[in-house]
Amino acid sequence: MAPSDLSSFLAGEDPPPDAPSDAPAAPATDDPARAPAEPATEPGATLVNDRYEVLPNRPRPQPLKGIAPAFDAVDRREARAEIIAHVCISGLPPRTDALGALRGVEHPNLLKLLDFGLAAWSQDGSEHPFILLERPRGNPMFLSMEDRRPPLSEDILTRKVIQPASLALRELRARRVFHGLINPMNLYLGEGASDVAKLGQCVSDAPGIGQPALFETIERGVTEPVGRGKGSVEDDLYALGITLMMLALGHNPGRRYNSDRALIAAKTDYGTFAALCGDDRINGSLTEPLRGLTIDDPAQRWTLDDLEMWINGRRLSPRQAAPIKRAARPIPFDGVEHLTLRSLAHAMANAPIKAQKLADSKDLETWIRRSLEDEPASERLEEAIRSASSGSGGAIEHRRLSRVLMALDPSGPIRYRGRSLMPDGIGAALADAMARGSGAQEVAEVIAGQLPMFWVNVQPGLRPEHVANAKIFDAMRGHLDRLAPGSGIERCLYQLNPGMPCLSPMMRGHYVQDLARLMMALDEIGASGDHPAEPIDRHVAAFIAAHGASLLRGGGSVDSQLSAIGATGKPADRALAIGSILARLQQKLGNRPLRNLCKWFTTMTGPLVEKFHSRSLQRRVREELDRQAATGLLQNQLTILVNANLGHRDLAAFRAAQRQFRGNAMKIQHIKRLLSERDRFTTVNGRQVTAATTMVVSGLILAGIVLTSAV
Amino acid sequence: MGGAKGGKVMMILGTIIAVSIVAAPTALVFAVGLVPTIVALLVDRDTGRYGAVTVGSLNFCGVFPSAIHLWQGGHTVQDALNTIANPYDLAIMFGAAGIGWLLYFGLPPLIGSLLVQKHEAEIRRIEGRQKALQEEWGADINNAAPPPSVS
Repeated sequence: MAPSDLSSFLAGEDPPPDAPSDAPAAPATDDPARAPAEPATEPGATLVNDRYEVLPNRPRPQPLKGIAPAFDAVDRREARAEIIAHVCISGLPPRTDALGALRGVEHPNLLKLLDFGLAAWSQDGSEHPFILLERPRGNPMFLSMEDRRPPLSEDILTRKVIQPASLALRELRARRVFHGLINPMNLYLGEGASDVAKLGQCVSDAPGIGQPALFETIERGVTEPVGRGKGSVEDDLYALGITLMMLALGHNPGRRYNSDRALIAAKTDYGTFAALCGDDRINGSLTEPLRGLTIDDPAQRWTLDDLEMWINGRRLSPRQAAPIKRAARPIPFDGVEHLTLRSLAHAMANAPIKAQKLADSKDLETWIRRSLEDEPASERLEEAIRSASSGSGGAIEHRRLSRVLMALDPSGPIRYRGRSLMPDGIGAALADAMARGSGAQEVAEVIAGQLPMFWVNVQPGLRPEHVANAKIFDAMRGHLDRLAPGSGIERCLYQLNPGMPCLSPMMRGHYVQDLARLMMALDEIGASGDHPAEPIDRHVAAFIAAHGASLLRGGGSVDSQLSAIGATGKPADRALAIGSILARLQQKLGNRPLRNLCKWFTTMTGPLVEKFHSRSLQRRVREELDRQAATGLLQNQLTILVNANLGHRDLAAFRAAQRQFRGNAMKIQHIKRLLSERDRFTTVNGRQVTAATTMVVSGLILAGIVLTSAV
Repeated sequence: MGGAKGGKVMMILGTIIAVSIVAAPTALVFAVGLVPTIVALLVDRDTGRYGAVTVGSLNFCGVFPSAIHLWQGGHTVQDALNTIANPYDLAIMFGAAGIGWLLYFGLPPLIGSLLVQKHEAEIRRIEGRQKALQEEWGADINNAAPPPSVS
């Protein structure tokens, strides 16, 4: 439809049949993402970025649980290149920040990240992210936690592992990337004499996922993997320390503990080094870095500089971990006597019903004051109990226990109803829960109960990221309180996880991680016959709200625009709000034609079209909407529907028609009244007409007589 | 009011007496020939006196040829007496009045029926227009208050 046609239509003129189109011009469809993908040459292979063929029939062994599966891949441009591809099929996004920072980085001690992209996985037909990495030379240094290897000497460890790892960590630190997956199963060493260890990939899953608890600090170890948070270089150094311990011993140093819980309890009670190396002999000079890297207090732990100084031959004064404050008299809980706050907190977290009883009693406070003589802990406990009623969501007993546990173990995670999450891991935990379809309620209650805020309050030192976290979770609590589209738990999900794909049920099979892809996916869904009635559901609204705040600025806040969808519940208002938001997004994203989405929107416009009074105008508007759908621009359709001139003219004509209708009705009433007295009407009018006719005829007769007589 | 009516009657009577004196033969013929009209005037109680008008018009047409014949002759009383005694002339005069009476009683039902049909057709025509309006504007067109505009 041409602009002239559009303007003439809006002016109320009849459109010429088959008018050439010069409407607000939509760019030609030149979207490479929409171009039909070139088929992969290997049968069953998936082609990524038009370059890499991922071979599903050649899976790679995966020693770490929970990591995205890996497959061999082939580079079409360089057939000899040895490549593996991780396919992120869990529904959780890969680490987009790390992907950006590490793409193409050439470092001898880091597995090279070649590329990443989205493609439809041939095994399930759905879109997933693919991460292409160079295939590591050699095998992982350990094939599993139960594996046993000959212990490595100090010289080999230093030359082939410690030195390369320190260089790799320095590179990662420069790029602000936390690895989070340093362990012997993700450390590759070739068999050549000059080969050195390479750190494996860390980008396919959220930090913490796949990392055994052994390699995590006590705080991260007691946290569930998905909720461990972003981590830091100190955490990587700790993992490196445990890795070196395992390589130096030739076996898992935590094998004597039959569960992660027992392992962490031992680390808590004796300190990591003592708990893991207590009975094993380690070469004398290696003890120094192992002890330094595995100190449980992050402030005391060796830094990268300390490690490099040790590598360069400088011997540091042995560092001892600060003694943990122990009570003069133990407190019994769940059959075990505890001397430290942290140990008690871990035990209480594992037995919440008994823990609630202890938290409600005065025994805990008395023990802290009299036996532990820890005044700050006592004050934290008092604050935890006092503030438990603030916030909302969930039962107050759960919130109180969670706060009490944070008061006892401030550096530990937020423990709530069986979940244990670091504040910066709440986003990933929520994403995981939403992707799996269970467990989101507890995470929502953590946010609504202001538990992250309390966690920040009990930290011994205020760090800048704590303030940022407090602000973020305060905003999230506000989103949870609102019920309008664009708010709620879905908004928290996308706000806390910017790389999270849209989980709307209608997006099944699509991997939508930005607004441009969202619009394209909606267009594709619009082409299918069984699309939902409306293209914006709660997930899509929240996704738009989280990603489109800056794009949609100018028409009021994104929240107010989205809340209009659910404000009145009137279908016409909903359709208008949905159309307006999508049209603005389309405009801001370069007016790429979306013909199927336009057709979809057309099916929603019934209530809007029916607001015009004239049925013939309604027909013309429908025809025009269909014509405009062919341009693929939603704004063209909205211009017709939201047109003051057209509306005013329709209303004026309607009022005139109403007046005409009333006048006609009165006429009919008048005639019917006359006819209701039919006899009288017939007599009076008949006689009147007869008399008049007779007079006329008589006049003619007289004239004839006179004329005849005159002749 | 009574005075004005009485004056009018007196004026008509005066005119008739004057015409009777001046044109006695003509007056005689009209007096006899228009008897059906006089009767119709007496018996017709309708507001418009349509019966008297109908009968009178044709009765006058029946008398007028005899009057012309009288005027073309000597216009004497004897001629007038001959005329009113002539059964042929009387038949024309009273026959015309009779036709008037026939029309007065026979035509109105016919004309009334035609008028009813005409009005019924008018109703159907207007109702057709109403239906078209309703089809174009919907049932709301019958509402007293117009619904809100689109924009």
